[in-house]
Amino acid sequence: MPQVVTGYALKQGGSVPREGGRKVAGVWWLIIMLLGGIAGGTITHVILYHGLVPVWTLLTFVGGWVVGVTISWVILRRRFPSS
Amino acid sequence: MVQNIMNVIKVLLFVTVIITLSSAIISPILLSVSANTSADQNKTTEIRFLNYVEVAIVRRPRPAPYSWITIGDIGGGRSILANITPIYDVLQLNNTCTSCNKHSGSYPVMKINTIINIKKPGSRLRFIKVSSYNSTYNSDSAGAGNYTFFVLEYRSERTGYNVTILTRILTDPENSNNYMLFQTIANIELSGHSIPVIDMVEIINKTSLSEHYEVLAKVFRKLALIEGETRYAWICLAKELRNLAIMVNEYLGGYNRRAYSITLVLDGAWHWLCVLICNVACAVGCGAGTALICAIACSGPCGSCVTIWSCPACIACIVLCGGITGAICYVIGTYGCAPGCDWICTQAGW
Repeated sequence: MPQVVTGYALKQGGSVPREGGRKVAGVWWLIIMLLGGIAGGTITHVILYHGLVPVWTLLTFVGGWVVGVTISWVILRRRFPSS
Repeated sequence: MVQNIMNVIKVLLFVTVIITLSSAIISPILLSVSANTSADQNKTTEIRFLNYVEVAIVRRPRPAPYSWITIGDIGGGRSILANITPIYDVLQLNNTCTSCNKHSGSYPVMKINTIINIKKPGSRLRFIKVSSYNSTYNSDSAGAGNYTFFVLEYRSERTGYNVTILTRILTDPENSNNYMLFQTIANIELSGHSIPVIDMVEIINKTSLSEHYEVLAKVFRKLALIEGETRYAWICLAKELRNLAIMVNEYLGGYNRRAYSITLVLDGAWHWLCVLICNVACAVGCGAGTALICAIACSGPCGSCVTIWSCPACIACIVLCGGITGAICYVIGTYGCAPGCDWICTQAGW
């Protein structure tokens, strides 16, 4: 019987997308994704404006990014519930 | 498990609401602080330039050129025509002052004479003559370096708004009785609002000082019909300009001479709230879409992991994908959504 619970599912014939979905649906995935996106947006902002001012454009992006990524995460969580 | 998920979502939504609210609050505060404090340096203020309006005064039977609209009569068989060019662009005003409190070798000495100072309930009108003399003045260069100009200051404090109108009247250097240009800045401050928008009006004919204000009053009454965002502000401002025109006629008869003019008008409104909501919605859509793409892109490296922490490839994939898509969403938000939202909110009458 193939092991699909562990990460070695591929070698043993399990479903990779489903396992990937379970890892993606984890809370840590959400946190890393949020921080990665905020870091990327902030770096771009600093490059474009040579500093953090005007701060409201950055805060608008951060607010939208957090809500957007969280919505996707909730959808993934429902699509790939934890075993 | 479901309870944990709900708790995490609640915390994230709370953080988001705090961030969004703080951006909504910080934005007008930054604007008002940097716009009102002239001593503040190295601050960037964003002001939206709404319309550039050219105004011409013509004899009534003359047909209006294409794209010019008739906005009223000014007496003497003359009509006021206006060509309104929408700009809707954000100006970054940087109050960088590199030579503040520094004087060069020669600087003018100012002599100020108050010609009239009239106080009425809720309003005040001052008309000042400013004569400047170059400090290097000597008998060999008699007259050289001297210049006279006038400043009209009108302030009114009414229920719900304050208006300040300042006009600098530039004169002919050879004869200060000949006016050259009226430079007017009008600012209307509605209760509790900042100063995020400006309109610029240029009158291409010569007008007397009282006509200058009367024409501006008519222009802003017309703009109030066109611009939903600034309707109330422009109606109030038009009323004050009309009042000022009457006062100039009444008290400044001897100084009511003719010149060309250019005017900047500043105003506050709720447009920024519409733009903010629209921009957040744009970032939400981009964040949600790109997060799904990242989830699919990283399902390969993450699928072969027991836990996420035992799989650096999975972490690297998420960080990289999140960082790149975050940067892309930021650029889309700044250069795509921001101007788009501005246009949408304007079209929607905000």
